[in-house]
Amino acid sequence: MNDVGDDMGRRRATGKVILPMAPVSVPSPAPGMLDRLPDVVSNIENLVPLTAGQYNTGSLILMVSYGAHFAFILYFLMTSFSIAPRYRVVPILSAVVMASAGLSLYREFDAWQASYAFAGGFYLPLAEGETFTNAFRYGNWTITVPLLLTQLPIAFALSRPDLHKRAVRMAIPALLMIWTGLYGQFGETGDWSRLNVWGVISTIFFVWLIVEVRGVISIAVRTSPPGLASWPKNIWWYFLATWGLYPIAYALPQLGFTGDVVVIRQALFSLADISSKLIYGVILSRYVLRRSALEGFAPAVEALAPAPAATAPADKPLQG
Amino acid sequence: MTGAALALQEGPRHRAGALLPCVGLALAAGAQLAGTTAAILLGLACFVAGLAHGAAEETEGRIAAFGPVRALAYVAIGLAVAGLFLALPIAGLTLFLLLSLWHFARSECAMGPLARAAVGMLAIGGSALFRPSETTDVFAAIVGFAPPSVLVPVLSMAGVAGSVLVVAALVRRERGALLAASCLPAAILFHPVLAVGLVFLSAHALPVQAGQVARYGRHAVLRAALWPSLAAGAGALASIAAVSAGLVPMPLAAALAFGLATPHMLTERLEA
Repeated sequence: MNDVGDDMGRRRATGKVILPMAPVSVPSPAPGMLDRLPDVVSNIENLVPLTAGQYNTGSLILMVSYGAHFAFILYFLMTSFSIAPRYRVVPILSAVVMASAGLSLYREFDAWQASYAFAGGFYLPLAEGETFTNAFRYGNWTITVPLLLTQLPIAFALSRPDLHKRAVRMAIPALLMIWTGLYGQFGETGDWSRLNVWGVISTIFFVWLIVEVRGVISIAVRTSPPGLASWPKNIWWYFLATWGLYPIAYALPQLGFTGDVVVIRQALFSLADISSKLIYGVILSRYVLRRSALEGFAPAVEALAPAPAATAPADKPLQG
Repeated sequence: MTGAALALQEGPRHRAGALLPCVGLALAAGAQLAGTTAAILLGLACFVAGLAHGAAEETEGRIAAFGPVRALAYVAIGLAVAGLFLALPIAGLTLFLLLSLWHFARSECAMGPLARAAVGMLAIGGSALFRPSETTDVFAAIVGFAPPSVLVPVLSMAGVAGSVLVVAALVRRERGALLAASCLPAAILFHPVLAVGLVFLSAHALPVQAGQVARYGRHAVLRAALWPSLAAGAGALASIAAVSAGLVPMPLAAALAFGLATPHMLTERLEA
Protein backbone atom coordinates (compact mmCIF):
# COMPACT_ATOMS: atom_id res chain seq x y z
CA MET A 1 0.00 0.00 0.00
CA ASN A 2 2.83 2.38 0.85
CA ASP A 3 4.49 1.75 -2.47
CA VAL A 4 1.25 2.52 -4.20
CA GLY A 5 0.83 5.65 -2.13
CA ASP A 6 4.36 6.82 -2.96
CA ASP A 7 3.77 6.05 -6.58
CA MET A 8 0.55 8.05 -6.61
CA GLY A 9 2.43 10.89 -4.90
CA ARG A 10 5.08 10.88 -7.61
CA ARG A 11 2.38 10.97 -10.24
CA ARG A 12 0.73 13.97 -8.66
CA ALA A 13 4.07 15.74 -8.22
CA THR A 14 4.97 15.36 -11.88
CA GLY A 15 1.84 17.14 -13.10
CA LYS A 16 1.47 16.68 -16.84
CA VAL A 17 4.85 15.09 -17.33
CA ILE A 18 4.38 11.52 -18.45
CA LEU A 19 6.70 9.14 -16.70
CA PRO A 20 7.02 5.58 -18.00
CA MET A 21 6.86 4.25 -14.48
CA ALA A 22 5.63 0.76 -15.15
CA PRO A 23 8.35 -0.20 -17.66
CA VAL A 24 11.05 1.25 -15.42
CA SER A 25 9.98 -0.53 -12.29
CA VAL A 26 9.05 -3.89 -13.79
CA PRO A 27 11.88 -6.31 -14.55
CA SER A 28 12.35 -7.18 -18.22
CA PRO A 29 10.19 -10.13 -19.12
CA ALA A 30 11.81 -13.40 -20.09
CA PRO A 31 12.00 -14.08 -23.85
CA GLY A 32 8.63 -15.16 -25.16
CA MET A 33 6.94 -14.10 -21.94
CA LEU A 34 4.90 -11.35 -23.56
CA ASP A 35 3.50 -13.79 -26.10
CA ARG A 36 2.48 -16.06 -23.25
CA LEU A 37 1.11 -13.21 -21.15
CA PRO A 38 -2.54 -14.15 -21.69
CA ASP A 39 -1.74 -17.61 -20.33
CA VAL A 40 0.08 -16.20 -17.32
CA VAL A 41 -2.37 -13.55 -16.14
CA SER A 42 -5.92 -14.59 -15.49
CA ASN A 43 -8.08 -11.55 -16.26
CA ILE A 44 -8.32 -9.22 -19.22
CA GLU A 45 -7.73 -6.23 -16.97
CA ASN A 46 -4.05 -7.23 -17.05
CA LEU A 47 -3.85 -7.08 -20.83
CA VAL A 48 -5.58 -3.83 -21.72
CA PRO A 49 -4.26 -0.27 -21.41
CA LEU A 50 -7.00 2.10 -20.30
CA THR A 51 -7.64 5.70 -21.18
CA ALA A 52 -7.85 8.11 -18.26
CA GLY A 53 -11.63 8.15 -18.63
CA GLN A 54 -11.88 4.37 -18.57
CA TYR A 55 -9.52 4.05 -15.63
CA ASN A 56 -11.32 6.68 -13.58
CA THR A 57 -14.72 5.24 -14.45
CA GLY A 58 -13.52 1.83 -13.27
CA SER A 59 -12.20 3.37 -10.05
CA LEU A 60 -15.47 5.19 -9.52
CA ILE A 61 -17.55 2.07 -10.08
CA LEU A 62 -15.54 0.07 -7.56
CA MET A 63 -15.47 2.92 -5.05
CA VAL A 64 -19.23 3.46 -5.21
CA SER A 65 -19.74 -0.28 -4.89
CA TYR A 66 -17.74 -0.78 -1.73
CA GLY A 67 -18.92 2.53 -0.30
CA ALA A 68 -22.57 1.60 -0.77
CA HIS A 69 -22.09 -1.82 0.78
CA PHE A 70 -20.31 -0.43 3.83
CA ALA A 71 -22.88 2.33 4.30
CA PHE A 72 -25.78 -0.10 4.32
CA ILE A 73 -24.33 -2.20 7.14
CA LEU A 74 -25.68 0.47 9.47
CA TYR A 75 -29.04 0.57 7.71
CA PHE A 76 -29.59 -3.16 8.08
CA LEU A 77 -28.45 -3.29 11.69
CA MET A 78 -30.75 -0.43 12.65
CA THR A 79 -33.63 -1.92 10.68
CA SER A 80 -33.32 -5.16 12.63
CA PHE A 81 -34.54 -3.46 15.82
CA SER A 82 -37.99 -2.90 14.29
CA ILE A 83 -38.43 -6.47 13.14
CA ALA A 84 -39.94 -9.39 15.00
CA PRO A 85 -37.36 -11.77 16.49
CA ARG A 86 -38.46 -14.54 14.15
CA TYR A 87 -37.36 -12.53 11.12
CA ARG A 88 -34.63 -10.38 12.68
CA VAL A 89 -31.85 -12.48 11.29
CA VAL A 90 -32.86 -11.41 7.76
CA PRO A 91 -31.49 -7.83 7.97
CA ILE A 92 -28.62 -9.06 10.16
CA LEU A 93 -27.61 -11.48 7.42
CA SER A 94 -27.85 -8.57 4.99
CA ALA A 95 -25.47 -6.61 7.21
CA VAL A 96 -23.04 -9.54 7.17
CA VAL A 97 -23.34 -9.72 3.38
CA MET A 98 -22.69 -5.98 3.15
CA ALA A 99 -19.54 -6.28 5.27
CA SER A 100 -18.21 -9.23 3.34
CA ALA A 101 -19.02 -7.78 -0.09
CA GLY A 102 -17.74 -4.35 0.93
CA LEU A 103 -14.38 -5.79 2.00
CA SER A 104 -14.10 -7.80 -1.18
CA LEU A 105 -14.96 -4.81 -3.33
CA TYR A 106 -12.52 -2.65 -1.41
CA ARG A 107 -9.86 -5.27 -2.15
CA GLU A 108 -10.84 -5.09 -5.86
CA PHE A 109 -10.58 -1.30 -5.75
CA ASP A 110 -7.20 -1.54 -4.07
CA ALA A 111 -5.93 -4.00 -6.69
CA TRP A 112 -7.28 -1.77 -9.45
CA GLN A 113 -5.36 1.21 -8.07
CA ALA A 114 -2.18 -0.78 -7.58
CA SER A 115 -2.09 -2.63 -10.86
CA TYR A 116 -2.31 0.32 -13.24
CA ALA A 117 0.30 3.04 -13.78
CA PHE A 118 -0.03 6.12 -15.97
CA ALA A 119 2.52 6.09 -18.79
CA GLY A 120 2.50 7.24 -22.39
CA GLY A 121 -0.96 8.79 -22.06
CA PHE A 122 -2.57 5.54 -20.89
CA TYR A 123 -3.02 3.62 -17.69
CA LEU A 124 -0.92 0.53 -18.27
CA PRO A 125 -1.64 -2.75 -16.49
CA LEU A 126 0.82 -4.82 -14.46
CA ALA A 127 2.25 -1.75 -12.75
CA GLU A 128 4.96 -2.61 -10.23
CA GLY A 129 4.42 -6.25 -11.10
CA GLU A 130 0.91 -6.16 -9.58
CA THR A 131 -1.85 -8.11 -11.29
CA PHE A 132 -5.57 -7.50 -11.09
CA THR A 133 -7.95 -10.38 -10.48
CA ASN A 134 -11.69 -10.80 -10.32
CA ALA A 135 -11.26 -14.02 -8.38
CA PHE A 136 -11.87 -12.16 -5.12
CA ARG A 137 -15.43 -11.60 -6.28
CA TYR A 138 -15.95 -15.33 -6.59
CA GLY A 139 -14.43 -15.86 -3.15
CA ASN A 140 -16.84 -13.30 -1.78
CA TRP A 141 -19.83 -14.91 -3.51
CA THR A 142 -18.88 -18.21 -1.91
CA ILE A 143 -19.67 -16.56 1.43
CA THR A 144 -22.49 -14.23 0.51
CA VAL A 145 -24.62 -16.19 -1.95
CA PRO A 146 -25.60 -18.97 0.50
CA LEU A 147 -26.48 -16.24 3.01
CA LEU A 148 -28.58 -14.36 0.46
CA LEU A 149 -30.43 -17.53 -0.43
CA THR A 150 -30.96 -18.53 3.20
CA GLN A 151 -32.64 -15.18 3.81
CA LEU A 152 -35.52 -16.19 1.55
CA PRO A 153 -36.95 -19.14 3.51
CA ILE A 154 -36.40 -17.25 6.78
CA ALA A 155 -38.25 -14.20 5.47
CA PHE A 156 -41.05 -16.38 4.12
CA ALA A 157 -41.42 -18.12 7.51
CA LEU A 158 -40.89 -21.65 6.30
CA SER A 159 -40.99 -24.24 9.07
CA ARG A 160 -37.59 -24.89 10.60
CA PRO A 161 -36.95 -28.36 9.06
CA ASP A 162 -38.16 -27.12 5.69
CA LEU A 163 -36.00 -24.01 6.04
CA HIS A 164 -32.85 -26.03 6.64
CA LYS A 165 -33.64 -28.42 3.81
CA ARG A 166 -34.41 -25.64 1.35
CA ALA A 167 -31.36 -23.59 2.34
CA VAL A 168 -29.07 -26.55 1.71
CA ARG A 169 -30.81 -27.40 -1.56
CA MET A 170 -30.22 -23.85 -2.78
CA ALA A 171 -26.69 -23.53 -1.44
CA ILE A 172 -25.35 -26.66 -3.16
CA PRO A 173 -26.08 -25.61 -6.78
CA ALA A 174 -25.13 -22.03 -5.91
CA LEU A 175 -21.67 -23.02 -4.71
CA LEU A 176 -21.14 -25.39 -7.62
CA MET A 177 -22.21 -22.61 -9.98
CA ILE A 178 -19.74 -20.17 -8.41
CA TRP A 179 -16.78 -22.54 -8.25
CA THR A 180 -17.19 -23.83 -11.80
CA GLY A 181 -17.54 -20.23 -12.92
CA LEU A 182 -14.38 -19.32 -11.01
CA TYR A 183 -12.45 -22.07 -12.73
CA GLY A 184 -13.85 -21.10 -16.12
CA GLN A 185 -13.17 -17.39 -15.79
CA PHE A 186 -9.44 -18.05 -15.75
CA GLY A 187 -9.89 -18.78 -19.46
CA GLU A 188 -11.09 -15.28 -20.26
CA THR A 189 -7.67 -14.15 -21.50
CA GLY A 190 -8.00 -16.29 -24.60
CA ASP A 191 -8.72 -19.87 -23.62
CA TRP A 192 -12.26 -19.70 -24.96
CA SER A 193 -12.92 -23.40 -24.73
CA ARG A 194 -12.20 -23.26 -20.99
CA LEU A 195 -14.38 -20.18 -20.57
CA ASN A 196 -17.23 -21.69 -22.55
CA VAL A 197 -17.16 -25.28 -21.34
CA TRP A 198 -17.08 -24.23 -17.69
CA GLY A 199 -19.59 -21.52 -18.51
CA VAL A 200 -21.98 -24.21 -19.74
CA ILE A 201 -21.35 -26.37 -16.66
CA SER A 202 -21.89 -23.35 -14.43
CA THR A 203 -25.10 -22.59 -16.33
CA ILE A 204 -26.41 -26.08 -15.60
CA PHE A 205 -25.97 -25.40 -11.88
CA PHE A 206 -27.57 -21.98 -12.41
CA VAL A 207 -30.67 -23.66 -13.85
CA TRP A 208 -30.72 -26.06 -10.90
CA LEU A 209 -30.43 -23.09 -8.55
CA ILE A 210 -33.27 -21.11 -10.08
CA VAL A 211 -35.52 -24.17 -9.97
CA GLU A 212 -34.75 -24.50 -6.24
CA VAL A 213 -35.31 -20.80 -5.58
CA ARG A 214 -38.57 -20.97 -7.50
CA GLY A 215 -39.66 -23.77 -5.19
CA VAL A 216 -39.18 -21.51 -2.16
CA ILE A 217 -40.97 -18.64 -3.91
CA SER A 218 -43.88 -20.94 -4.77
CA ILE A 219 -44.28 -21.85 -1.09
CA ALA A 220 -44.14 -18.15 -0.21
CA VAL A 221 -46.79 -17.26 -2.79
CA ARG A 222 -49.11 -19.78 -1.16
CA THR A 223 -48.34 -18.91 2.46
CA SER A 224 -47.71 -15.16 2.57
CA PRO A 225 -50.33 -13.14 4.46
CA PRO A 226 -52.99 -11.68 2.15
CA GLY A 227 -51.61 -8.17 2.47
CA LEU A 228 -48.21 -9.33 1.26
CA ALA A 229 -49.30 -11.89 -1.32
CA SER A 230 -47.76 -10.07 -4.26
CA TRP A 231 -44.33 -9.64 -2.65
CA PRO A 232 -42.85 -13.12 -3.24
CA LYS A 233 -43.79 -12.98 -6.89
CA ASN A 234 -42.26 -9.53 -7.28
CA ILE A 235 -39.14 -10.68 -5.45
CA TRP A 236 -38.89 -13.60 -7.88
CA TRP A 237 -39.07 -11.30 -10.90
CA TYR A 238 -36.45 -9.08 -9.31
CA PHE A 239 -34.22 -12.07 -8.55
CA LEU A 240 -34.33 -13.23 -12.17
CA ALA A 241 -33.61 -9.78 -13.59
CA THR A 242 -30.62 -9.12 -11.34
CA TRP A 243 -28.97 -12.55 -11.17
CA GLY A 244 -29.14 -12.77 -14.95
CA LEU A 245 -26.48 -10.05 -15.17
CA TYR A 246 -23.68 -12.23 -13.79
CA PRO A 247 -23.39 -14.69 -16.69
CA ILE A 248 -23.31 -11.81 -19.15
CA ALA A 249 -20.43 -10.20 -17.26
CA TYR A 250 -18.68 -13.58 -17.16
CA ALA A 251 -18.86 -13.95 -20.93
CA LEU A 252 -18.14 -10.36 -21.87
CA PRO A 253 -14.36 -10.69 -22.53
CA GLN A 254 -15.20 -12.68 -25.65
CA LEU A 255 -16.34 -9.42 -27.22
CA GLY A 256 -12.73 -8.26 -27.30
CA PHE A 257 -9.82 -7.11 -25.15
CA THR A 258 -10.69 -3.43 -25.02
CA GLY A 259 -10.87 -0.84 -22.28
CA ASP A 260 -14.59 -0.46 -22.82
CA VAL A 261 -15.16 -4.17 -22.23
CA VAL A 262 -13.06 -3.99 -19.05
CA VAL A 263 -15.09 -1.07 -17.69
CA ILE A 264 -18.48 -2.40 -18.79
CA ARG A 265 -17.69 -5.74 -17.18
CA GLN A 266 -16.80 -4.07 -13.87
CA ALA A 267 -19.98 -2.00 -14.16
CA LEU A 268 -22.10 -5.11 -14.78
CA PHE A 269 -20.56 -7.01 -11.88
CA SER A 270 -21.03 -4.04 -9.56
CA LEU A 271 -24.57 -3.34 -10.75
CA ALA A 272 -25.42 -6.99 -10.19
CA ASP A 273 -23.79 -6.94 -6.74
CA ILE A 274 -25.61 -3.81 -5.63
CA SER A 275 -28.92 -5.07 -7.02
CA SER A 276 -28.74 -8.65 -5.81
CA LYS A 277 -27.30 -7.93 -2.38
CA LEU A 278 -28.03 -4.39 -1.29
CA ILE A 279 -31.36 -3.57 -2.92
CA TYR A 280 -32.49 -7.18 -2.50
CA GLY A 281 -31.67 -6.85 1.21
CA VAL A 282 -33.69 -3.65 1.43
CA ILE A 283 -36.66 -5.33 -0.27
CA LEU A 284 -36.51 -8.36 2.03
CA SER A 285 -36.15 -6.11 5.07
CA ARG A 286 -39.25 -4.16 4.07
CA TYR A 287 -41.10 -7.42 3.54
CA VAL A 288 -40.24 -8.78 6.99
CA LEU A 289 -41.00 -5.40 8.55
CA ARG A 290 -44.49 -5.49 7.08
CA ARG A 291 -44.88 -9.12 8.02
CA SER A 292 -43.80 -8.32 11.57
CA ALA A 293 -46.38 -5.54 11.72
CA LEU A 294 -49.11 -7.82 10.41
CA GLU A 295 -48.21 -10.30 13.13
CA GLY A 296 -48.61 -7.54 15.74
CA PHE A 297 -44.98 -6.80 16.63
CA ALA A 298 -45.27 -3.34 18.16
CA PRO A 299 -41.98 -1.75 16.94
CA ALA A 300 -42.84 -2.76 13.38
CA VAL A 301 -46.34 -1.37 13.72
CA GLU A 302 -44.85 1.88 14.98
CA ALA A 303 -42.27 1.97 12.21
CA LEU A 304 -44.99 1.65 9.60
CA ALA A 305 -47.45 3.99 11.32
CA PRO A 306 -48.45 7.01 9.21
CA ALA A 307 -46.75 10.26 10.10
CA PRO A 308 -48.72 12.50 12.44
CA ALA A 309 -50.59 15.45 10.92
CA ALA A 310 -48.11 18.07 9.77
CA THR A 311 -49.11 20.94 12.06
CA ALA A 312 -51.78 20.98 14.66
CA PRO A 313 -53.40 24.40 15.21
CA ALA A 314 -51.85 24.65 18.68
CA ASP A 315 -48.37 24.24 17.19
CA LYS A 316 -48.70 27.22 14.91
CA PRO A 317 -46.35 30.05 15.89
CA LEU A 318 -48.02 33.00 17.45
CA GLN A 319 -48.51 35.90 15.12
CA GLY A 320 -47.92 39.54 16.12
CA MET B 1 -69.34 -21.36 -13.39
CA THR B 2 -66.75 -23.73 -11.95
CA GLY B 3 -63.93 -25.20 -13.97
CA ALA B 4 -65.38 -28.68 -13.55
CA ALA B 5 -68.76 -27.56 -14.81
CA LEU B 6 -67.14 -25.86 -17.76
CA ALA B 7 -65.14 -28.99 -18.49
CA LEU B 8 -68.33 -31.04 -18.44
CA GLN B 9 -70.16 -28.57 -20.62
CA GLU B 10 -67.35 -28.44 -23.12
CA GLY B 11 -66.46 -32.09 -22.80
CA PRO B 12 -67.18 -33.25 -26.36
CA ARG B 13 -65.02 -30.44 -27.80
CA HIS B 14 -62.14 -31.45 -25.57
CA ARG B 15 -62.46 -35.05 -26.68
CA ALA B 16 -62.53 -33.90 -30.28
CA GLY B 17 -59.23 -32.22 -29.47
CA ALA B 18 -57.72 -35.69 -29.25
CA LEU B 19 -57.82 -35.74 -33.04
CA LEU B 20 -55.65 -32.67 -33.19
CA PRO B 21 -52.30 -34.49 -33.09
CA CYS B 22 -53.43 -36.63 -36.04
CA VAL B 23 -54.39 -33.54 -37.99
CA GLY B 24 -51.09 -31.91 -36.99
CA LEU B 25 -49.08 -34.94 -38.03
CA ALA B 26 -50.89 -35.11 -41.38
CA LEU B 27 -50.28 -31.42 -42.08
CA ALA B 28 -46.66 -31.76 -41.03
CA ALA B 29 -46.20 -34.77 -43.28
CA GLY B 30 -47.47 -32.70 -46.19
CA ALA B 31 -45.06 -29.87 -45.37
CA GLN B 32 -42.17 -32.29 -44.95
CA LEU B 33 -42.89 -33.80 -48.36
CA ALA B 34 -43.10 -30.31 -49.88
CA GLY B 35 -39.50 -29.60 -48.89
CA THR B 36 -37.29 -28.23 -46.14
CA THR B 37 -38.47 -24.63 -46.51
CA ALA B 38 -42.12 -25.61 -46.14
CA ALA B 39 -41.26 -27.79 -43.15
CA ILE B 40 -39.36 -24.99 -41.42
CA LEU B 41 -42.12 -22.47 -42.16
CA LEU B 42 -44.79 -24.74 -40.73
CA GLY B 43 -42.61 -25.37 -37.69
CA LEU B 44 -42.21 -21.63 -37.13
CA ALA B 45 -45.96 -21.19 -37.61
CA CYS B 46 -46.50 -23.76 -34.83
CA PHE B 47 -44.24 -21.77 -32.52
CA VAL B 48 -46.10 -18.53 -33.30
CA ALA B 49 -49.49 -20.22 -32.82
CA GLY B 50 -48.39 -21.55 -29.44
CA LEU B 51 -47.32 -18.18 -28.08
CA ALA B 52 -50.81 -17.47 -26.76
CA HIS B 53 -50.55 -20.05 -23.97
CA GLY B 54 -48.00 -17.88 -22.18
CA ALA B 55 -49.36 -14.48 -23.11
CA ALA B 56 -51.32 -13.90 -19.91
CA GLU B 57 -50.61 -14.20 -16.24
CA GLU B 58 -52.37 -16.70 -14.02
CA THR B 59 -52.35 -15.42 -10.49
CA GLU B 60 -54.50 -15.64 -7.39
CA GLY B 61 -57.11 -17.79 -9.07
CA ARG B 62 -57.62 -15.65 -12.14
CA ILE B 63 -56.07 -14.97 -15.50
CA ALA B 64 -55.15 -11.44 -16.51
CA ALA B 65 -53.01 -9.54 -18.95
CA PHE B 66 -49.56 -8.51 -17.74
CA GLY B 67 -49.55 -5.06 -16.15
CA PRO B 68 -47.10 -2.45 -17.51
CA VAL B 69 -44.54 -2.95 -14.71
CA ARG B 70 -44.66 -6.73 -15.04
CA ALA B 71 -44.43 -6.42 -18.82
CA LEU B 72 -41.35 -4.22 -18.48
CA ALA B 73 -39.79 -6.69 -16.03
CA TYR B 74 -40.61 -9.49 -18.45
CA VAL B 75 -38.83 -7.73 -21.30
CA ALA B 76 -35.86 -6.83 -19.06
CA ILE B 77 -35.38 -10.46 -17.98
CA GLY B 78 -35.86 -11.59 -21.57
CA LEU B 79 -33.19 -9.19 -22.79
CA ALA B 80 -30.81 -10.32 -20.03
CA VAL B 81 -31.23 -13.94 -21.15
CA ALA B 82 -30.80 -12.85 -24.78
CA GLY B 83 -27.60 -11.09 -23.73
CA LEU B 84 -26.36 -14.31 -22.13
CA PHE B 85 -27.29 -16.17 -25.30
CA LEU B 86 -25.28 -13.77 -27.44
CA ALA B 87 -22.29 -13.70 -25.10
CA LEU B 88 -22.18 -17.42 -24.31
CA PRO B 89 -24.30 -19.09 -27.01
CA ILE B 90 -23.84 -22.70 -25.95
CA ALA B 91 -24.45 -21.84 -22.30
CA GLY B 92 -27.54 -19.88 -23.37
CA LEU B 93 -28.76 -22.81 -25.43
CA THR B 94 -28.14 -25.19 -22.52
CA LEU B 95 -30.07 -22.90 -20.19
CA PHE B 96 -32.97 -22.71 -22.63
CA LEU B 97 -33.13 -26.45 -23.30
CA LEU B 98 -32.93 -27.41 -19.63
CA LEU B 99 -35.58 -24.87 -18.67
CA SER B 100 -37.78 -26.08 -21.54
CA LEU B 101 -37.49 -29.67 -20.32
CA TRP B 102 -38.39 -28.62 -16.79
CA HIS B 103 -41.22 -26.39 -18.00
CA PHE B 104 -42.79 -29.00 -20.28
CA ALA B 105 -42.49 -31.67 -17.62
CA ARG B 106 -44.41 -29.65 -15.04
CA SER B 107 -46.90 -27.89 -17.29
CA GLU B 108 -50.40 -27.48 -15.93
CA CYS B 109 -52.52 -29.59 -18.25
CA ALA B 110 -54.58 -32.75 -18.35
CA MET B 111 -51.61 -35.07 -18.87
CA GLY B 112 -49.96 -37.48 -16.49
CA PRO B 113 -46.46 -36.88 -15.14
CA LEU B 114 -44.80 -39.55 -17.29
CA ALA B 115 -46.48 -38.20 -20.43
CA ARG B 116 -45.42 -34.64 -19.62
CA ALA B 117 -41.85 -35.71 -18.93
CA ALA B 118 -41.84 -37.68 -22.20
CA VAL B 119 -42.96 -34.59 -24.09
CA GLY B 120 -40.20 -32.52 -22.47
CA MET B 121 -37.51 -35.10 -23.20
CA LEU B 122 -38.63 -35.56 -26.80
CA ALA B 123 -38.89 -31.81 -27.35
CA ILE B 124 -35.26 -31.26 -26.45
CA GLY B 125 -33.77 -34.59 -27.52
CA GLY B 126 -36.07 -36.34 -29.99
CA SER B 127 -34.65 -34.74 -33.11
CA ALA B 128 -31.11 -35.10 -31.78
CA LEU B 129 -31.73 -38.84 -31.47
CA PHE B 130 -33.46 -39.48 -34.76
CA ARG B 131 -32.12 -36.73 -37.05
CA PRO B 132 -28.74 -35.77 -35.60
CA SER B 133 -27.28 -34.22 -38.73
CA GLU B 134 -30.17 -31.84 -39.35
CA THR B 135 -30.30 -31.02 -35.65
CA THR B 136 -26.63 -30.08 -35.70
CA ASP B 137 -27.30 -27.81 -38.69
CA VAL B 138 -30.17 -26.11 -36.86
CA PHE B 139 -28.03 -25.50 -33.78
CA ALA B 140 -25.25 -24.15 -36.01
CA ALA B 141 -27.69 -21.70 -37.59
CA ILE B 142 -29.02 -20.66 -34.18
CA VAL B 143 -25.68 -20.01 -32.49
CA GLY B 144 -23.78 -18.90 -35.59
CA PHE B 145 -21.06 -21.56 -35.50
CA ALA B 146 -20.68 -25.33 -35.46
CA PRO B 147 -21.78 -26.49 -32.00
CA PRO B 148 -19.48 -28.72 -29.92
CA SER B 149 -19.64 -32.26 -31.21
CA VAL B 150 -20.74 -33.52 -27.80
CA LEU B 151 -23.96 -31.47 -27.76
CA VAL B 152 -26.18 -33.55 -30.05
CA PRO B 153 -25.12 -36.94 -28.61
CA VAL B 154 -25.84 -35.67 -25.08
CA LEU B 155 -29.24 -34.37 -26.16
CA SER B 156 -30.00 -37.65 -27.93
CA MET B 157 -29.88 -39.32 -24.51
CA ALA B 158 -32.85 -37.15 -23.58
CA GLY B 159 -34.50 -38.49 -26.74
CA VAL B 160 -33.88 -42.06 -25.57
CA ALA B 161 -35.30 -41.23 -22.14
CA GLY B 162 -38.33 -39.59 -23.80
CA SER B 163 -38.98 -42.68 -25.91
CA VAL B 164 -38.80 -44.93 -22.84
CA LEU B 165 -41.14 -42.60 -20.96
CA VAL B 166 -43.65 -42.73 -23.83
CA VAL B 167 -43.73 -46.52 -23.55
CA ALA B 168 -44.07 -46.30 -19.77
CA ALA B 169 -46.91 -43.80 -20.08
CA LEU B 170 -48.68 -46.04 -22.60
CA VAL B 171 -48.24 -49.15 -20.43
CA ARG B 172 -49.65 -47.29 -17.45
CA ARG B 173 -52.45 -45.90 -19.64
CA GLU B 174 -51.59 -42.51 -18.30
CA ARG B 175 -53.66 -39.54 -19.32
CA GLY B 176 -52.08 -37.84 -22.33
CA ALA B 177 -49.98 -40.90 -23.21
CA LEU B 178 -51.24 -40.94 -26.80
CA LEU B 179 -50.47 -37.27 -27.18
CA ALA B 180 -46.95 -37.91 -25.89
CA ALA B 181 -46.67 -40.87 -28.23
CA SER B 182 -47.53 -38.63 -31.17
CA CYS B 183 -44.28 -36.75 -30.48
CA LEU B 184 -42.27 -39.82 -31.43
CA PRO B 185 -43.25 -39.96 -35.13
CA ALA B 186 -42.83 -36.19 -35.27
CA ALA B 187 -39.24 -36.49 -34.06
CA ILE B 188 -38.53 -39.43 -36.35
CA LEU B 189 -40.11 -38.13 -39.53
CA PHE B 190 -39.84 -34.37 -39.61
CA HIS B 191 -37.22 -31.66 -39.87
CA PRO B 192 -36.17 -30.62 -36.32
CA VAL B 193 -37.79 -27.18 -36.54
CA LEU B 194 -41.07 -28.74 -37.63
CA ALA B 195 -40.84 -31.59 -35.13
CA VAL B 196 -40.13 -29.36 -32.14
CA GLY B 197 -42.70 -26.79 -33.28
CA LEU B 198 -45.34 -29.49 -33.55
CA VAL B 199 -44.45 -31.04 -30.18
CA PHE B 200 -44.51 -27.58 -28.58
CA LEU B 201 -47.89 -26.68 -30.05
CA SER B 202 -49.80 -29.95 -29.83
CA ALA B 203 -48.33 -31.50 -26.68
CA HIS B 204 -47.68 -28.41 -24.59
CA ALA B 205 -49.17 -25.10 -25.69
CA LEU B 206 -52.64 -26.31 -26.69
CA PRO B 207 -53.14 -28.63 -23.68
CA VAL B 208 -52.04 -25.81 -21.36
CA GLN B 209 -54.38 -23.38 -23.11
CA ALA B 210 -57.21 -25.92 -22.90
CA GLY B 211 -56.56 -26.12 -19.17
CA GLN B 212 -56.76 -22.33 -18.91
CA VAL B 213 -60.09 -22.35 -20.77
CA ALA B 214 -61.41 -25.05 -18.45
CA ARG B 215 -60.32 -23.12 -15.34
CA TYR B 216 -61.30 -19.58 -16.27
CA GLY B 217 -63.61 -19.80 -19.28
CA ARG B 218 -62.96 -18.93 -22.90
CA HIS B 219 -63.88 -15.26 -22.61
CA ALA B 220 -61.55 -14.61 -19.69
CA VAL B 221 -58.64 -16.29 -21.49
CA LEU B 222 -59.39 -14.40 -24.68
CA ARG B 223 -59.65 -11.09 -22.85
CA ALA B 224 -56.35 -11.65 -21.04
CA ALA B 225 -54.29 -13.17 -23.83
CA LEU B 226 -55.57 -11.72 -27.10
CA TRP B 227 -53.60 -8.48 -27.33
CA PRO B 228 -50.35 -9.79 -25.86
CA SER B 229 -50.62 -12.79 -28.20
CA LEU B 230 -51.13 -10.56 -31.19
CA ALA B 231 -48.21 -8.36 -30.17
CA ALA B 232 -45.92 -11.35 -29.56
CA GLY B 233 -47.05 -12.98 -32.80
CA ALA B 234 -46.44 -9.79 -34.77
CA GLY B 235 -42.98 -9.50 -33.22
CA ALA B 236 -42.19 -13.10 -34.05
CA LEU B 237 -43.39 -12.74 -37.65
CA ALA B 238 -41.42 -9.50 -38.06
CA SER B 239 -38.36 -11.25 -36.71
CA ILE B 240 -38.79 -14.17 -39.11
CA ALA B 241 -39.25 -11.76 -42.01
CA ALA B 242 -36.19 -9.72 -40.99
CA VAL B 243 -34.02 -12.83 -40.83
CA SER B 244 -35.34 -14.04 -44.19
CA ALA B 245 -34.55 -10.65 -45.74
CA GLY B 246 -31.05 -10.70 -44.27
CA LEU B 247 -31.72 -7.63 -42.13
CA VAL B 248 -31.14 -9.38 -38.82
CA PRO B 249 -28.62 -12.17 -38.23
CA MET B 250 -30.16 -15.47 -37.22
CA PRO B 251 -28.23 -15.75 -33.89
CA LEU B 252 -29.58 -12.36 -32.79
CA ALA B 253 -33.16 -13.28 -33.68
CA ALA B 254 -32.75 -16.66 -31.96
CA ALA B 255 -31.29 -15.00 -28.87
CA LEU B 256 -34.25 -12.64 -28.66
CA ALA B 257 -36.75 -15.45 -29.22
CA PHE B 258 -35.19 -17.72 -26.61
CA GLY B 259 -34.64 -14.82 -24.24
CA LEU B 260 -38.23 -13.64 -24.41
CA ALA B 261 -39.59 -17.17 -23.98
CA THR B 262 -37.57 -17.77 -20.81
CA PRO B 263 -39.42 -15.49 -18.33
CA HIS B 264 -42.66 -17.27 -19.21
CA MET B 265 -41.13 -20.61 -18.27
CA LEU B 266 -39.85 -19.31 -14.95
CA THR B 267 -42.77 -17.25 -13.79
CA GLU B 268 -45.77 -19.26 -14.94
CA ARG B 269 -48.10 -20.34 -12.12
CA LEU B 270 -45.76 -19.64 -9.25
CA GLU B 271 -48.37 -20.74 -6.74
CA ALA B 272 -48.62 -24.21 -8.32
